[in-house]
Amino acid sequence: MNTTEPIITIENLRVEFTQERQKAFALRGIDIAFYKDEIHGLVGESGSGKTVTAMSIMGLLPKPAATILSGSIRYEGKELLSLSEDALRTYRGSKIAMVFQEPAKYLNPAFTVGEQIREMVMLHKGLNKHQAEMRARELLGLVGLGKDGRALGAYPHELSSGMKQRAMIAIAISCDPDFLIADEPTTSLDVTLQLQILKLLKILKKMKRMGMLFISHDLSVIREIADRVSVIYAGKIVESASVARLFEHQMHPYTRLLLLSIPDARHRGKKLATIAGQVLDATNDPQGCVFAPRCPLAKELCYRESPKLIAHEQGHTSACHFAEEAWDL
Amino acid sequence: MNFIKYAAKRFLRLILTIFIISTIIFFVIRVIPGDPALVIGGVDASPSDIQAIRAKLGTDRPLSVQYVEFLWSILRLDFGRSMISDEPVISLILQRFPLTFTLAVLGLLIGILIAIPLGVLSAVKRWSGWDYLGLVFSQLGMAIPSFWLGILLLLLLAIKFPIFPLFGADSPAGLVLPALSLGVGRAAILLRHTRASMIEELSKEYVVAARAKGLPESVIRYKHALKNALLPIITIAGIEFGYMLGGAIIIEQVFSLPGLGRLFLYAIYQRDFPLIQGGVVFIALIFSLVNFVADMLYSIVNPKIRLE
Repeated sequence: MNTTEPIITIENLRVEFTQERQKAFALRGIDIAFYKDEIHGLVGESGSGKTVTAMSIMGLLPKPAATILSGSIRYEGKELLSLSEDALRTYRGSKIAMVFQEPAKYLNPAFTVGEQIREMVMLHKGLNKHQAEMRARELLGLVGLGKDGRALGAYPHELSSGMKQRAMIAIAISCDPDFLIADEPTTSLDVTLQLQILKLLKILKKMKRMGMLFISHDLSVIREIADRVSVIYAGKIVESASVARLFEHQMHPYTRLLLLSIPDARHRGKKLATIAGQVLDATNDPQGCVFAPRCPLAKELCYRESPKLIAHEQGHTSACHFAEEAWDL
Repeated sequence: MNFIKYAAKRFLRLILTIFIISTIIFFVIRVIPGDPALVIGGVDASPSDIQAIRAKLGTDRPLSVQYVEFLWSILRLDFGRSMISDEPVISLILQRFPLTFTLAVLGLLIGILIAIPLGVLSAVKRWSGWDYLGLVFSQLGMAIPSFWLGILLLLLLAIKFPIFPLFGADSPAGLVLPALSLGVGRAAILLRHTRASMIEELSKEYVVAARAKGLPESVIRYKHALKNALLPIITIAGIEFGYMLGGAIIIEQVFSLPGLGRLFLYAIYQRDFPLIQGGVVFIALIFSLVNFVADMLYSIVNPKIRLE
């Protein structure tokens, strides 16, 4: 596995949201490490804390609703959580960049694609107008929006949804970040476009040797793109392993059930498996395992004691008391 | 190319508006009671005198003939002659128009200068002192009628502290108080729109994306959000300008300014048909032109509109 130092390390991150005097636990102490030249997939259902994780790294959690209760996020060993807003800003966009789910909403409708790239490289890289223009042209060529620079003068609404996402990727990588967060970048696109964008991200990762956090609720997309996968459930990482290993051998019942719920041609005619029960209410703070109420294997221990994320062979980690046992679902 | 098509479409709409307004005003002033011949002839005129005046004015001819003649005169931008003074209507209007127009422009300018900075500040620093100041200002501004504000300003700044002249527009200083009374009410409305528009833009996703790019908050607010927030304001300001022309007519009475307002008011008293018609059509034309320009401006700043 990866023996070098991680670019970003998250340790015991706990994030709480307060809304109308109700407290909700968005992240219940997560540990995760991201490496250079590796695409780390983060998979989980909506509300499980994927985007909160991304926004915590960016330092863009909504204020004052979100509070970081404890934990640390380090970029190349430097603690990001203790940085001032001004200091953080020098990381955002230049070292750590982000691609969002719906490019139509996240691109500014009133500025051309060229301007949205130029302002960023002028700010972070100190380029002058002419250099910025050249850089923008080069970036658009890189993401497949043509080398003639026609897309430079285009407003977002003049581009198709696939082109918009390419433009947003061009903006994100414009300052050669070490780390790219892609939050469901293909979810709003149709399947053929999805594959093109995944391919583009893979190429860019290789070319720029970036680390990448790729967020998705879709295991098949994760399988397509990621090198490593972490599964998040109700604000906790329940399992993490290399893609090859995770799809072959699951060490957490939630992951197994998640895989069983994907339609598969080999099981044609059989009823599709579903996970009984509902996601743990975010206002709930159970003593035991967050998945226990829905877990078919849950024992008394699971309700009493919260399982820790423990490393097993081949860098496979799992937060289940019975990870090593052979169970069948 | 798209822009030209869009502009042409808008211009056609302008022509149609003018046509409809001309038709309405033509028939309305003839339906309501009041005969210019009676006004000109006075109480002592005999029926045959009145008939003679009618023949001279042309009001004895069938309505349809008068209507076609009227439309034809509008096409030539010649609104006929005043029935009372016998001067060409267009020259009467053009003599008075610069003053009213200046007043409306100044009023709008004052409105914009107050509304946009305060509206943006209110939106950016919500529930701060600035926001409350904006709130109080806009509530008062909307509640106070402009003519009453005008009278108050006169009492305070022309009589108690004689800084500005009491009436007349002989010096530019004479326009300050009227423009202020006009602008404050409009500013109140523009301010509410600016604040709401800015708050809406600041909650949009592209603002999050701009933060993720590491842009300073000032750039995010005053470049990214403001440009989007001002787009609807351009349209509203155009409409406000139309109200300003109407409002100027009242304010001219308060400050005794020889503008269009007083001209039209006397025209109505005296049933001076050509002058009333000409005045209404002229104001409609100016209003439509200003909105046409606002629409063009809007489409230049917001390229999205051209495709619609």
